[in-house]
Amino acid sequence: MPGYHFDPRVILQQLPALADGLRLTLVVSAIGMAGAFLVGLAGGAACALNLPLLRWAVPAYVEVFRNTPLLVQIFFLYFALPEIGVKLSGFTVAWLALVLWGGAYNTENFRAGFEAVERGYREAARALGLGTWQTFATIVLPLGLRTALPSTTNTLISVLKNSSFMVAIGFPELTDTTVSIVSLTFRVFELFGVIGVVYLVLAWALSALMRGVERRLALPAAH
Amino acid sequence: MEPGLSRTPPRPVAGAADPASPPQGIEEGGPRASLRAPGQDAAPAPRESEARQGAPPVVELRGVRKSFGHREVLRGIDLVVSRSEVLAIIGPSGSGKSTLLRCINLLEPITSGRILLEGRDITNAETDPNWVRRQVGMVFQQFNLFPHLTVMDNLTLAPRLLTKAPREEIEQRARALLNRVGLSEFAGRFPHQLSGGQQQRVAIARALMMQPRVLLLDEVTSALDPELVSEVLDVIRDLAVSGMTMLVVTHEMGFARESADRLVFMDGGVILEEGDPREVLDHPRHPRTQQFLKKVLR
Repeated sequence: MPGYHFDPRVILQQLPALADGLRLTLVVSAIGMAGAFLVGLAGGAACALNLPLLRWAVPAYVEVFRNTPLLVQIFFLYFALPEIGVKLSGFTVAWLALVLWGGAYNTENFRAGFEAVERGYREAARALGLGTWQTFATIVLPLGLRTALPSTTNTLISVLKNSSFMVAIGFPELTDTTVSIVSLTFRVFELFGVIGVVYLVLAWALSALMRGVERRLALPAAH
Repeated sequence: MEPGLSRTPPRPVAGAADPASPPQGIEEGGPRASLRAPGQDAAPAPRESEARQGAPPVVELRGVRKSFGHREVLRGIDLVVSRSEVLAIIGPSGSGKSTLLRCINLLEPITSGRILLEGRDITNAETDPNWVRRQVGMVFQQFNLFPHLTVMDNLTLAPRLLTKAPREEIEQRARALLNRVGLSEFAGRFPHQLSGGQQQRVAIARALMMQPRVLLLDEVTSALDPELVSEVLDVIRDLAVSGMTMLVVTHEMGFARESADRLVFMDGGVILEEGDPREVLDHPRHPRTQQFLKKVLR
């Protein structure tokens, strides 16, 4: 790095601020991931069960939130809604935007997982006299969930990383905090470098956790 | 798929069997135990006495037609199956045999005609399909055991959800059925740990757990390795002896010949020939039956 004086001391000096930012990132991401998971599960179920009203409302929701930029969604929630009387705090917009965005992608993940459950299993359940809901709860959901887990993991990791978008509304999560510090200290390499590593470790930990869940749920291999 | 009207079981007609009582004759050594020695013709005596009671046939199809879009798969089926009768259904692929079975337990809605289960019309709008499927058991060619559940859970899932029987009683019945099909030690295993023949025997036991009035067997040995076929046929023969009413779609002509009471040949969505298994297999009258049998009985 010709001409750049690398000085990691700035990280230690700014540790309290960075820690605060990290804490907010974790809180918002946790709510966002949990919400996205539940919304996706419910949405996928609504599609698989062909529920009245929801069977067009859910796909409409998915289309809107998959085909518009996350940034635009965030701006809309934070700047546009107040114009019609809905004023949300930065914190609320942060996790809500993540839930809506992640929920849309997860709805597709779960819907695909449920639809992938072999027809024969569903027919066997119906042939025994189990109703639509019973078949879904005991057969489709457990089997479909396992199929949907890998793609759901992807979406959840994306939710974690997308918490950094909140820089756009000045919500002081990790990235926003770092941008502020950089504007004061100009230590771009050290600061963006270290939060890059932080995000990487967090995402890696999350996927390791999800892999553990997948392994625990996995159906034993055929002999 | 299901009509959106109120779900009530069909009203019984006079003389029909009480729905609460278990089906008759599923004990060892039932009414035909002594009469089912190989080489003997079907004995008329038990069924005659039941016919004299005025009991309606277990399954009756009147003018049943089924189309998938423009493709008519069943073109007017009339069929009567009496209690404790074993009906074998044979025919080329695409003849509608499987569709026929799937219409009887309402997995497929029929396009026109009537299906009667013990005298009750199950194809009218007020019938609850789930209720029908509890009376009609089905075993599939691909076994379809639930892969995420143990053998015991596979057997007890439906009774636990659908009946008010206490759990211990359900588990006891499950163990008895497992014992009957020769798989007592497999209660805690998962389906993938069993051979095809074992899985199919579990599938039969699972269907029997709901104490159905009639059992539909859809080519249950066609997906099995040849050496595993006989263990499944043995179980079916045992069920026949104890009086279970069964419709068996099969390619096993030997089994049909020895263990069925009546044989039906289907082709192109209609029943072309019907009668005593030996008669039809040895002296087929319809040219298409002759053609089919010539190819099958090599």
